[in-house]
Amino acid sequence: MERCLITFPSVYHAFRAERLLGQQHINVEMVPVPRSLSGSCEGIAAVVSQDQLQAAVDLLGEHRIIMLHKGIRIVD
Amino acid sequence: MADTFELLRQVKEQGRKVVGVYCNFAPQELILAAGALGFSLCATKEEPIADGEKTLPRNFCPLIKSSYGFAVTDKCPFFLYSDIVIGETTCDGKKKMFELMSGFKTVYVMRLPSSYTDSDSLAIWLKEIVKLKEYLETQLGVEITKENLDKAIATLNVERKMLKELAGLMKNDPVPISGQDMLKLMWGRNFVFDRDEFIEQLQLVIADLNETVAAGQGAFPKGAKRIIVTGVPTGIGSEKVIKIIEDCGAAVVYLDNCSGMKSYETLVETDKPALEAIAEKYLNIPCSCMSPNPTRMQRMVELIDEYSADGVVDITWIGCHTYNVESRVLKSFLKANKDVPFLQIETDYSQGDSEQIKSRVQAFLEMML
Repeated sequence: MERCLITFPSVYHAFRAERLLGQQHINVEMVPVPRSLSGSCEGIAAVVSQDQLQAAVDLLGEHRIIMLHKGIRIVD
Repeated sequence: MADTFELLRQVKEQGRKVVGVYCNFAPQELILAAGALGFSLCATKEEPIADGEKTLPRNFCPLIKSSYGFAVTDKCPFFLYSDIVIGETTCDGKKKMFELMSGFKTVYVMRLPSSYTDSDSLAIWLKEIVKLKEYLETQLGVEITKENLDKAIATLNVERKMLKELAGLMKNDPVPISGQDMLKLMWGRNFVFDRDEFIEQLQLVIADLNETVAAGQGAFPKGAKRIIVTGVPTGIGSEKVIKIIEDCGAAVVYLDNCSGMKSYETLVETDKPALEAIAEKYLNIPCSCMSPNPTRMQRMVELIDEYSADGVVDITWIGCHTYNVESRVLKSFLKANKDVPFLQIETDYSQGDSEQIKSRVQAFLEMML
């Protein structure tokens, strides 16, 4: 299954995203933001499967979670 | 939207000024009241240390070498886009690093006294605060009005109260989140572009964690050993010891250091002239560069009770003489006033001693059984 990355402007958005996605049973893994996407020292990103990406982005948008990247495809 | 470099480039294009800081002694109210964005500068990763060592002595602490390495290579976006970097004469290493840094960046160094226990120091520090205000006004071409200063004090006091509320959630057993996650939340406060939005996010995270507490859920099983971490700043990239403690099954319930709660414990008082109140608040930060440093000792005894701590781990960076010496003072003070297990760990940002530290932490935790 292809996986996609969602990034946030702060760890606070990332923490809330993890909780909201978990409550809706969307499988999510929190990982450090890859250096290729951000030079910041603090980033945490959410990894979701490709088939749950749109549901995840919609849910987070409804809860006013700001997203910087809404689904960068991860190449393993 | 793009990464931090791009976000900073955009805010600079909009005419915003950026001020970078390395230390909790930099009075953030003045930066905010000047209408500038204040950010902590990168200093907690191993990656740029080799670049730092090209100029600085190898036996400097990793925090200074990392700071300089980030700065000289422009790998820290906040340093790159800072109009001014504020430094303080906290320790000899930093003082001399700022001297070198001023060769390629606009650096303003505040002369920090080495004591908060005498009135002369406060008078000296107040003069430094006044000088910084005047410098920011000239350099940034703004007037720091009383109204803006009062507003900045109020805003940052709200943040401090909320961060204290957030930290206080770790008094629960089980703790609602790990110490590693708490560190990330504390760390996030250093890179805020929009303070109102930050307060909103902080409120929501606190509400989420209150729900976790109410549900009796936690990051560790109820009854897990509870550790207070103190000593040097341990930010993202240098959280090795905190991770090891939690990998060994104990919960880090309080981060007493500069990357944790050290500067959020007290507020800027609002019943006295603003600059005096700012001077008083910041001078009283219980950093080991202060000699003596009784506030740190006394507060640690209170924290052990408040957070029901089973032990204290004091982290010292190799080359950080003030925290290294003060570890002995803290150990003796705790032995006399609060008989809890105490472990000093002297290390750096590398992973080479991780297994050795793990063995020591495991033995430390077993001692508490």
